[in-house]
Amino acid sequence: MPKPKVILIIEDDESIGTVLLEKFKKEEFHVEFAQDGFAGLELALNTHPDIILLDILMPKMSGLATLRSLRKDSWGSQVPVIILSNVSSEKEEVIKSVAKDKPSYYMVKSDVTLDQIVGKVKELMVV
Amino acid sequence: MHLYLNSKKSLELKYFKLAVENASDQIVITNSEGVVIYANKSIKRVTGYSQKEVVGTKAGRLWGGLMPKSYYSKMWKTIKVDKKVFKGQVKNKKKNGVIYTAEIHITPVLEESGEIMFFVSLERDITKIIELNDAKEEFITLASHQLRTPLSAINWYTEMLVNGDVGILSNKQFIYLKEIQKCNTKMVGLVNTLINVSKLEMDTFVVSKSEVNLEEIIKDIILELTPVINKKRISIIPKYVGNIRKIFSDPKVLDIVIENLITNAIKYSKYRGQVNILIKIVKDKLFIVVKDKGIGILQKDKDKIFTKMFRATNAKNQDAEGTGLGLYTVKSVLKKVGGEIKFTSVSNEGATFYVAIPIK
Repeated sequence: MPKPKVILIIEDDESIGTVLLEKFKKEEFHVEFAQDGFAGLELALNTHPDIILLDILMPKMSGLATLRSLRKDSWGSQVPVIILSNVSSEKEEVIKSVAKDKPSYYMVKSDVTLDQIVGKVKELMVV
Repeated sequence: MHLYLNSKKSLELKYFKLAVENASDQIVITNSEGVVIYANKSIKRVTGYSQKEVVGTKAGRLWGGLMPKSYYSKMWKTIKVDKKVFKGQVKNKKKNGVIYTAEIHITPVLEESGEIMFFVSLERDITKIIELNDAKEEFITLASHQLRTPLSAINWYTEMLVNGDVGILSNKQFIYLKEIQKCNTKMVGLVNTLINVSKLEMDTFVVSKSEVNLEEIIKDIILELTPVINKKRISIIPKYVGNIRKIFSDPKVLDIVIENLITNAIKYSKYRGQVNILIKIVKDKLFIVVKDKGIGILQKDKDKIFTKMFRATNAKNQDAEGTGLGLYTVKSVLKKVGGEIKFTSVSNEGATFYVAIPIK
């Protein structure tokens, strides 16, 4: 049996975090989970997941700061990251510009279904 | 030059002097080398330096100097070489060390020969205005985040239930959950519209152009609308002329405009209706035409359909829940990019909307 893919979810909202966790478990991923950017960064650098789902507005360390630190690491510069956020307005521009540096992608939570997120994750895993 | 002034003239001059002296903006007059000849009372309030302290010094020596060198050289070139008005925003420092942002207008006043007689500089402290704008921006960011997060959670839990991820549902449970999902999607749409309208009203909607794949945007919009399209058996007929996969424009604007026009066309179509979408590029302009054969727009409503919160009489009968914000938002965002919108319609036969957007 192939080893399950590891996904790291960094999300401070409990309801959102739980449903993502459940969905990806159901999709037979091994799920790592952190509730703020600081813990998420540490977990990422220690466990080297295959992909990261990253929220933006979080306590301790924002998603963008987390991503910047992550990209300074040699492993971290290569790992695919999907920024999942509900932030709007001009910050959205900032996030989109960050997401242009592949392998980062950007999805607005309220505009996508769980299936679409899973689809995107799987698409990135194949590559 | 007259050696004396009559009393009427001298009174006029006195008024001028008092007006300048007491104006709420900082007014500084310098010689052609930038040395201060006169500063009005506001200099003290804005910079913290007294009128006495600044006269005889080079303008800005005491309170300026925080901008990069290139900024000042551009400023000097404008007023001294080009002899034109310079307008800008500068960071300055008060006597007590506090940094503030000023809006400045410097005008060279010329002799008849074209030589510079003196410069007049008007400055206004706009720190508070900038702070207010940042606060508005922050408010919209937080509001959109706080409103959309619980909606996303509702969406996703419902999705898992509907998909049977946590067990098989009874028929009725399934139908009820579908109903929850539908309402929630509506709520997301409403929140997005309200955010856009607030951005427009608070003037924090910023246009940022990039290379856009318009075909992709339209595909996504149609995909999102598939449930309604199928339910009403609408046939959507898109036609593209020119390379619409590489357009230089603001994707947000295109998305808002096209989504609203297509949504309306579907909403006000009759059962088994037809919606035509034409996207055409001619020179530096993008043309969008959306045509339906629906209920149309009544003559008496024609001049009001872009008004905020206005809903046409026949539109209300067809769909009771519209917000009256769609076309208002469309018209407002188009204004931001120099675009235009017009329409033709015959009541009960349909409506066609024409949009033109400059894309260079």
